[in-house]
Amino acid sequence: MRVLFCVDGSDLALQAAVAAARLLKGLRPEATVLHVLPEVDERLRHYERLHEEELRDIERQFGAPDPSVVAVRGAQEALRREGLEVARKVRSGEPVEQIVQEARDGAYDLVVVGSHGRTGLRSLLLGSVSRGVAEQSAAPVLVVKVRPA
Amino acid sequence: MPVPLVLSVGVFLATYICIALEKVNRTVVALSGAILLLLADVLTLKEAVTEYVHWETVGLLFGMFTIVTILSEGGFFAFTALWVARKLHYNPYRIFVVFPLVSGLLSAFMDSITVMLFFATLTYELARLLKFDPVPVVVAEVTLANIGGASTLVGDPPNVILGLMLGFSFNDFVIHNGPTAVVASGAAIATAYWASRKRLVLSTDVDREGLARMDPAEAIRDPRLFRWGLVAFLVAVLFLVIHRPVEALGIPLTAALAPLLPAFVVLFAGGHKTEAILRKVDYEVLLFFIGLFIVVGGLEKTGAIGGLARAGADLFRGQFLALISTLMWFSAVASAIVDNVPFALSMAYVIKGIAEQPGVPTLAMMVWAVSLGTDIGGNGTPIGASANVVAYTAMEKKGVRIGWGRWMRLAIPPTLVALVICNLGLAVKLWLRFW
Repeated sequence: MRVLFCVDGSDLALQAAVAAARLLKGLRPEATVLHVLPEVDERLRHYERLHEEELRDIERQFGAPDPSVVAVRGAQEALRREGLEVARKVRSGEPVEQIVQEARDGAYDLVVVGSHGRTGLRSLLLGSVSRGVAEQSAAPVLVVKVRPA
Repeated sequence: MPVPLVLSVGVFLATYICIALEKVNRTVVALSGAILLLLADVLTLKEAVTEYVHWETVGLLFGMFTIVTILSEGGFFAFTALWVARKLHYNPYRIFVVFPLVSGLLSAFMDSITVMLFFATLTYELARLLKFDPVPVVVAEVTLANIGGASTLVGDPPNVILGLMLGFSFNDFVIHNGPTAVVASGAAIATAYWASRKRLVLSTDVDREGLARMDPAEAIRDPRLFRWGLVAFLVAVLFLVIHRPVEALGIPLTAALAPLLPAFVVLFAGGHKTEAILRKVDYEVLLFFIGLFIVVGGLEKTGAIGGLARAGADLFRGQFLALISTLMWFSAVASAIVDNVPFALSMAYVIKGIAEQPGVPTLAMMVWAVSLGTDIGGNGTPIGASANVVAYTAMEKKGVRIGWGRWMRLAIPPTLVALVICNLGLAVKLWLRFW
């Protein structure tokens, strides 16, 4: 059974992934953690290109690790502690589109996404990745509702 | 209604909507609008180039961009941030107050987008080592950068447009907008600090080893460019201060030449770095301006702006404070929603038209109102100004989620306080007849 755990660097997404891993570990799934980087605005890309070398020097001086790698590695470690063997993937773009695409490309049997449990107008305003994935994914989707601490 | 009038309004609205939707690169949109107007013969190429593209604005921006690029290439921004952080003993409370003030001060003289690209990145890195939440600090930096930008002619592109197109100098902006912007900055940072004070905690789990590597001198990438860039910057500011009296002596030291002259002296002496610097200058923004000058020029030529100005003047005839306040708040709200460059450009023509009508305040008062509103109002949303977009998306790219809701909760209170102070400042100026 191939399972795709979706994380976004937030504690809530990580909690949701861990909760699902506890439910699913008896099935000994073949797990992958996916982190979708937000689409970078064209203007930021433009200015980053103009000042690429200076920004790279700052990162070098601070020894800054790539935040997306940190996020996906953190999730991978957390799921390993639950007894799962986990691969990791990073994609960038619109989250729903990228998750649905990855689920299709990787022929996953189940997609796990966290939900903040927001309803009504707030959910409408903030948009909902979990709802979008549930609506558009060809693979079954497990939405894990997590309440902020 | 005459066909050219309909065409100019149609192309302007289509350009404005496409820029707001951000589906196509804004420079491409502006230049496409300009080409359409030329094709439709609303403007001739000669008219566009000689009458409507304001080359002094383009030259001034090119000069300032070149100096900022020289400074950036020398490592000026990283050095400044690290030097300030060290002087503050890496205390998050002090960083919260002083970093936004420094970004405001730098943005008063330099392109705030570059300032925020570096300050957002460095604040994130320091926050990672010092274990504090970078979001309130970065939003405060952007807020102060936009307020600081209001204080001088070169602080924000809308000021360059309003000032140079309508004949106001660097000194005029410093004298009339400067004091208001300083008071508004103080009040805005106090509001931001008060609102976020409980979220700032001194962590005991600080990465001391990481901090030990934070030697400001290490951030200087090229000591020679760093020194020459600073000298060029100071000379440019000096030239901007003295260019009017110098011009009166018959020496053509225009506002555009003030930064271009020192910038090109450094480029001449820049040796192997000259090409790298020239490659990094933001030509795209200059082309965006050129396209917009032509699109808005079409409106001016066909008389569309004149009609709008007459309607505005009729509505507020004799009510000076109401007109000034409406101009400021309208500019603030509009620039929080749409790009402030085309807005300022259209408003430059509109207020010029209003000033030609009887029973309205002097043009200068309207310039200060539109400039303060346009520069500061952009704070309200993550897309209100290019500096916001760059800071917001830079943080999101690093995995620090802000979201529109949190941005607005953090940015709107200090922005409102700043705008109320600006409105009061304008009222006092009107009362004192100081414009």
